[in-house]
Amino acid sequence: MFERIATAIKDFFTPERIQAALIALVVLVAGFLLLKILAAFVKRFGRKRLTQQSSMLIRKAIFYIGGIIILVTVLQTLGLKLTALLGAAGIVGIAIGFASQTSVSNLISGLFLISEKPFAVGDVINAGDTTGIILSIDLLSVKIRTFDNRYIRIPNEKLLNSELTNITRFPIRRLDIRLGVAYKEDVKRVRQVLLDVADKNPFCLDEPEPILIFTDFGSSALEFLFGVWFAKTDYISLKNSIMEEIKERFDREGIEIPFPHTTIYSGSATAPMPVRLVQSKAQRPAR
Amino acid sequence: MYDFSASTTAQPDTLYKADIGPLSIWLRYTHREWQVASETGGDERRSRPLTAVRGKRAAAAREWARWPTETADMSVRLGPVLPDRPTLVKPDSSLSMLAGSSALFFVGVPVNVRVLVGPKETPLCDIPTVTLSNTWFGDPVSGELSYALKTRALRELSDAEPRPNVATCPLAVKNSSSSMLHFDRFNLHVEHLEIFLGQSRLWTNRVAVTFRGEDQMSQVNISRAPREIETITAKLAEPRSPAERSFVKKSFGVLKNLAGY
Repeated sequence: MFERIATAIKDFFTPERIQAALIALVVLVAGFLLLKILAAFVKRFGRKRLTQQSSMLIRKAIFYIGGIIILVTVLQTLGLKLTALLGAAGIVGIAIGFASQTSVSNLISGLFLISEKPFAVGDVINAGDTTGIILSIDLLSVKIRTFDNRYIRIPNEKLLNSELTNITRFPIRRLDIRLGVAYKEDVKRVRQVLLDVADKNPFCLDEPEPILIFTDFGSSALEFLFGVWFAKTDYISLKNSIMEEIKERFDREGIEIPFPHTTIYSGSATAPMPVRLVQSKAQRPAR
Repeated sequence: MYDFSASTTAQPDTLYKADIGPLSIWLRYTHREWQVASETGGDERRSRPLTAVRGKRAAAAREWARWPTETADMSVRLGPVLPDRPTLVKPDSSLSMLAGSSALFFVGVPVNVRVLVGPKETPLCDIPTVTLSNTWFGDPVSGELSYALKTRALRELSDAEPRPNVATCPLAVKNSSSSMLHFDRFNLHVEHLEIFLGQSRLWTNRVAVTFRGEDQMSQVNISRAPREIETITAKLAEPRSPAERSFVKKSFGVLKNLAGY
């Protein structure tokens, strides 16, 4: 039996077949090497000329298309008839198509996202409960790194169908601070102090000028909206510094930030609350 | 006026100090490294060259920046350099220029001080003599991050008192459009300018800006040193990023009100 197996193997591996296999191996190795070189060239060439996203897409396209060409070439070199294979692939494709509707939807959504460009690699986005930096925009999904270093994969279809906030799309942003001061405070002085705090903070932009809007006579305080502009990279530095500076300055100037409270008046803010002592029957002296 | 061309040979383990306007710089070569510390907030008119100072108190409680280097040549020079970003300039009061009119302004730009060491004058660091605040020139969607100048663009040179740390830029503005130019701010690209030594003050190149209408970019021409205003004795600094002598830029800001929130 072993002799028969050995003979069969010997008959199968004819010199022509061995030669074809070697050629196929060379094509495979050289082909993938060439693809790697091409991808590296695109990465280097595109560093200054292309966005990170475009460079990534072009490299992936080179790999996928180049990989298919190499595979077809190898199969042809080995003498396999592709027509039958393609026919079978067509039937399998239909079956896979029905089974992978979601994937196809994600793929098409990915193409729409690429053409619409609501965000780019490196942007910080907020999608639902997820906030993070875009690592890559792929055909089926987008990969995000959160600020606490988690890796999140969001299907493209979900991103296309829901509201998405690109936090770093524009070069500057405004930090809105809602605060309240006690009713006894002088509004003009509060305004002066807040604008001075913004002027002295190195992360606040002089222009656009900070805005200060007296928004409401709240139940516990006079309410203000204080908006200061900053370069998008300075968010954390500004947020930490200005909140502390406002508190410190208010403390120094004696400006009160009241906590929620309710004051009961008898009708006038200045008149004392009237109190009437009532004696019970038991406490009344006997007549 | 501070002599930016003077070089000093530092002795090892000796502390040196210089005052250039409001900026004080301490410098020493010790433990095979250069160390530099600085402080701003002093008198704007000070001008004291790099001189050895004594006493441990002078060196104490300073935040030193350090550069390890083995060198036998301890020559050091403090050179001026203009800020690394455009600076937003405003006239001393808002003005309007008629179509076809032109005007000359003088803008005082606080320089940075660059510490240059060794025979090849290797730059160690740039230290601003005045901490300029950040501002944005443009709209919230696009624009340039710039510095805001506290000093104003003046019409008379005599109104601009010479300061050792300030380079004066002659800015010639011409309105060649058919409409009025409301000149309330201008973004001066100082990173393209050189610094020259005049008889009484530091100078930059003369900048000529031609306003061609709100819908068009302004034509900006950078001339050589302003020899027609004052005798220039030396060039002290090259531009940070040389630009073409003539380029178009959106330089004038139209005052826009940001509506609502």
